[in-house]
Amino acid sequence: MDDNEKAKDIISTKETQTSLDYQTLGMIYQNQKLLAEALKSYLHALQLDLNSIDKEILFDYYGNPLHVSEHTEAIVDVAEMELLERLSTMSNNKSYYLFENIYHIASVYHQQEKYNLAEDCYKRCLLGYKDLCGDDAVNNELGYVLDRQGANYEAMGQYSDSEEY
Amino acid sequence: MHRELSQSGVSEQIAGVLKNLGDNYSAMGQYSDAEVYYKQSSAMYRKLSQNGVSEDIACTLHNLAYNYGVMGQYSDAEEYYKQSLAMCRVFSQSGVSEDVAHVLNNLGFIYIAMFQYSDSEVNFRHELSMFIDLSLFGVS
Repeated sequence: MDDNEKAKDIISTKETQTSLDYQTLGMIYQNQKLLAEALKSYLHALQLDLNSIDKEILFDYYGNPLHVSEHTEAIVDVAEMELLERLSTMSNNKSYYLFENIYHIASVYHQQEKYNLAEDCYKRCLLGYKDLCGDDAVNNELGYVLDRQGANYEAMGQYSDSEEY
Repeated sequence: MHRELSQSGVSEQIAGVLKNLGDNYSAMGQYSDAEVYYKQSSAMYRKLSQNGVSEDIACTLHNLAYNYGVMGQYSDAEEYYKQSLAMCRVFSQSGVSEDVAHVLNNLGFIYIAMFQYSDSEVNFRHELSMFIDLSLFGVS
């Protein structure tokens, strides 16, 4: 039994599975190129994260919910689009793990050549991280990047593009 | 499993998302959009790195070079492949690794494309000899 199989075995025999467990399973499946299974696991993790945010469940340092009983309700298969739609209605959430799951989901969509879905998820993720970092910090980081971008265009002689930055 | 939630950790995540957006646009054939995201990503990775050198930067530069190649901007592709190659060599054992071979392979294709569209065989031969030096001795 290789390490991936051992990890799957350990996770599946746990009494309760957390969002982090499902994310780990997703990563294992993704490594094994089992993309449909990976997507299912990541979506499962995402749903747990969303439920936690709805119920304001707190996470410990390692990303495990502090109120496990709240977190283990039966998860029915939710259509992925419905889940992603739910994401778009949420605002100002501050869960790092939520965006990490969206990042993984985007990477699976990319591997499945569902590029429009991947784009949508990556952009949600980007906005989430920016929001999470706080305006000042991120604007400093991105401001630097955009300055560099403007400088690049200027150096390339594309002044019209440079003005946008 | 999760990264520590720190400013630099999240910034690194942002740089990763920007790179992946570049990959995604490149796969969709939207090469100009991909270029913008690759450049933002590499600039952010550079800022996060200690000395402007990292495997993430090398990978992003490689993808940017590939993107320029498919856009037919061979000089730009050559430039970024060379930058990526230099970084890959830093992270390889004695200058040889799969990444180094991969970049050299793609750089070779760029020189072939440049030859096909070049009106100067002399220039191409000069570039080719530089490529051979780069491949064999790591200098150009």
